[in-house]
Formats: sequence, C-alpha cells, structure tokens
Amino acid sequence: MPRLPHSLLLRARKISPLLPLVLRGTRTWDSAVNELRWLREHVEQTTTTRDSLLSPHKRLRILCERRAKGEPLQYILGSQPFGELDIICEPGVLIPRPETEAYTEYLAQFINQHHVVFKTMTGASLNPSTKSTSNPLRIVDLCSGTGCIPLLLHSLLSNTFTALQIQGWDISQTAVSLARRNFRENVKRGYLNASPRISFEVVDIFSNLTSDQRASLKCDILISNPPYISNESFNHETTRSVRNWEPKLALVPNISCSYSVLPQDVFYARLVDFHFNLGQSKILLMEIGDDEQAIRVVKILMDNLKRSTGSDLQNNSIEIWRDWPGQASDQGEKQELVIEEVSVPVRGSGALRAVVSMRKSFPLNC
Amino acid sequence: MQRWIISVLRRTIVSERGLLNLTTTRGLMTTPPKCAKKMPDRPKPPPEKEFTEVFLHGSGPGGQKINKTSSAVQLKHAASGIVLKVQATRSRTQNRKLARQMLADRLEDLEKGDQSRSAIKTAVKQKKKSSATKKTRRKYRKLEEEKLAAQGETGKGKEG
Repeated sequence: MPRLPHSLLLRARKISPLLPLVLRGTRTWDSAVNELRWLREHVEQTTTTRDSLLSPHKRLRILCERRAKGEPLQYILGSQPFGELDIICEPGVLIPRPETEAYTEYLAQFINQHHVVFKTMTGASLNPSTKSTSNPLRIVDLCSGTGCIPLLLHSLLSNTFTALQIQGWDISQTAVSLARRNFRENVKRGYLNASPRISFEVVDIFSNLTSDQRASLKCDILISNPPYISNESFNHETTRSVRNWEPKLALVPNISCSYSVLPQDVFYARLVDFHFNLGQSKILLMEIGDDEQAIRVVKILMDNLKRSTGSDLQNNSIEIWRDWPGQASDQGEKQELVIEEVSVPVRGSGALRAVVSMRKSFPLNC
Repeated sequence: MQRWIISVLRRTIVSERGLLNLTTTRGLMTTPPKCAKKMPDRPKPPPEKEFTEVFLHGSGPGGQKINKTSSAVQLKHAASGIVLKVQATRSRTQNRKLARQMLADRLEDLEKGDQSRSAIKTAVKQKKKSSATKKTRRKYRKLEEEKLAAQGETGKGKEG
C-alpha cells in the first residue's frame, strides 16, 4: 500500500481536521471527500440512544477514526444502497458490490423484456395443461450473503411476474439471518412487496443435497456470486479493508473436492454441474474475478456441455458480461472472445465480471 | 411580572383546551397558507437516446477484491454539450435519477431562459430575500430614528 503523500494530508487538514482520518481509510481524495460527507449526514440523521450523551462532533470523530483503521464505510453506517433497496451490512457478511448490482439489474431487465418467453417456458416445462401464468418463475441464488441479489430480483421482477419463487442459500448462519432481516426491513420500509416471500436457508452446496434441495435446483434461473479469489491474490490484490474486515469465507474458496479445477474455481465446477446435470436451469449466471478466470469458467462450461449433451454447443449460448453490461463498450474493449475456437460475445464496458450460460430457444438478441 | 403570569396562564388554558378538545378547529400551522402562484412543473428528462451515461469507476481490479463506495454518474448530452456528474448519494440508482433531473433542468434553462422552472424559482427566492432585507432595513431605520429623537430630547433636557 503506497504511503499517502504528506502534501495531500496537509491539504486535507485545511479542509477539515477529520478528512485526513477518512483519507487514511479510503486512500483516494474523491472518495474521502464523499465519505466524510456521508458520515456527517449519518451523524446528523441518526440520534442513537447508545451514545446520545456524546456531542455530534465527538460521534463523527469516532466514526472517522474507525474509518481510518480501514473499516468499510458500509459496516460503519450499517447499510449499502442496492438498486431501490437498502441492504443492512454487518461484519461477518460480505458487503454487496456495485458490479453485482449492475449485472443483477441487467439480468432483471433481460427477463422483463422476454417475460412472455419465460412465462410460456416455465408453463410448458412444469405443467402444460394449466395456464402458463400460474406457474412461478423460480430463481435460486447460491452463496446469497446479505441476500442482495434475491431481494433486488424480487424488487425488479415482481411487477411483471405475479408468481415468483425465490430462494437464497448460504453456508453461513449469520448471512442467512441477516438476509431474512434484510427482507423484513425492506418490506417494512415499503421498498418490497411482502408477497411473494423469499426463503433463505442454510445450505452447504458441497454436501449431499436432500431431495427437496435437488428439486429446488430444477429452477429457471440459477445465479451466484461465489467465493472466487485465490489465496495468492487474496494476499496481494485485495485491499486492506477487504482483507482485514470482510469474511474470508465469502472471498476465498476453501474446499477440497473431486473436481479437477484450480482451487479458486471449485464453486464454478459445482454450479455448472448443477446447471447441466441436476438443475436443468434456463439461465446460469456466475460472477467471476478477472479475465483469466472468465476464460477458465467458459472452458468448464464447454467441457460440461460436450460431456452432457454430446458437443451440442448450438443448443446453448455462453456470454460474458462486463462490469456495466448495459453500457456501450469503450474503444479498445473487445466485443467477443474466441475460446476453444468458439466465439463468445462480451457485453458492456469495464472488466469481465460475469459468465452467463443460457439454454437454447431463447431470443438472445437483447 | 404580572403580564408574564397572565400570558403563561393564557397559554396553559389554550393548551388544555387543545388537549380536551382534540378536534380543535385551529390548524397546527401558524403561518397563513400561501396563496402564491403555482410553480411550473418539473421538466421531464430527455429521452435516453439523446445522452450517454457513464458510471465513473477507478481502474484496477473490481468485484470482491475491492470495496468501492463511489457511485458517481456522469451524463453527456450530445446536442447541447452539457456534461454533468452526480455523486450526491451513496445509491447509484438515486444518483442516476438526480442526474436526469439536473439534465432536464439545465436543458430547460437553455431552451426557455427566464421562463424556466429554475429561473422562476430563483427569482421568487430573490424577491423574498430582497423584501426581507427591505423589511429589516426599514426596522433599523425606524429604531435609529427613534434613538436619535430620544437623544435629541435628552439633549434638550440637559440644555434646559
């Protein structure tokens, strides 16, 4: 971590004696100015009973000192806006990232655009005799953490789909409790409809799944932001606040299993297995860490495709989404990658962020 | 002193009456309702095709490896050349809405000049402010005059 130049700290001090503290946490000028403003607004808006004896200035100072030690702003303020929602954040559960918000919104937009196809498909696949609209669109989010992805999908899809069945699974009891609380709080504040309900369960996806869980995985959309950082890059590429304050469980996979992949790709092998062999889901969306991982995950997908459906690449399409999949790509950003002689379209601008696999017969030209 | 007691008494009577009779006809507002002209409606943002939107983010790795709090949104309106950046809130969704509203305001300014909503708003504000300053000036002038008059009287008294 490069040392902050003295001139910068002096400049910050001239603006506010608290700014150098925040700057020590954020490391960049712009975000320090913004974060100090948000901390100040937070102190003005909240009159906590716990430290009401302290003056607002003293309370602000305490918060800034916590930020100086690298504690994430979201843990200090207790929340992170996510779409129209406000997600409660607590130590022990990964903080939702803006990139996750972006691809979740993009996926919801895609589903809403093709809602007729989805409705008929869910209807046809479940029970052809009944009306297609009566069958719910079933979504499962694995490694759900704060529950941000299921909750945002619920918020964005509930207008189009009257019947929704959304589940979030996580191995951590802390995360599942927080996700349930997030659902209740967002309903209470009027950001979400109370029905349909979202269920959050403690599930270890590497254990032997129960028959109910297997049935749940036969869903329409499987989405996941699994741990994907290797031990090596956890030590060298993550920022101090992530490394010291966020749960390593949510960042670095620590699983020994039979899949012949790199340790940081274990979850993808499992997810792809679910998608093709167990779940028969229509869409599988997985967040990934960097370009190399994107290519590796696409290869895992292709290997599975060849094995399970007999080299039927035509029946499936694989896409890569960048950080901001809805935006036009910048100059110099490739709009397709050729992996194992197959051209994979790349959407949006920014770094590669998600790998998406979709079943055939989708009008995939959004 | 007496006057103070009376005023306190009167106040308690009023408040008791208010408590007894909860459906009091007197409203809670102490200021008279404003009969001022209705403000023009907020202008609608231009269609999405007319501008480009960029989410400003630093370079380097993203996703789980870092934890950015920046949610800045930049809009570029090609036809007018307006470029604006909004980072008021922590919510990108909120900033996007704010940015669109700001763009709409700026475009209306360009189009309508003094007839735009923001121009009318500032004009109303200025008028209020100037009348307030006028009022204070009047008040202090009056006080000053009274003071001078009083001084003149005492001065006369001394002479006499």
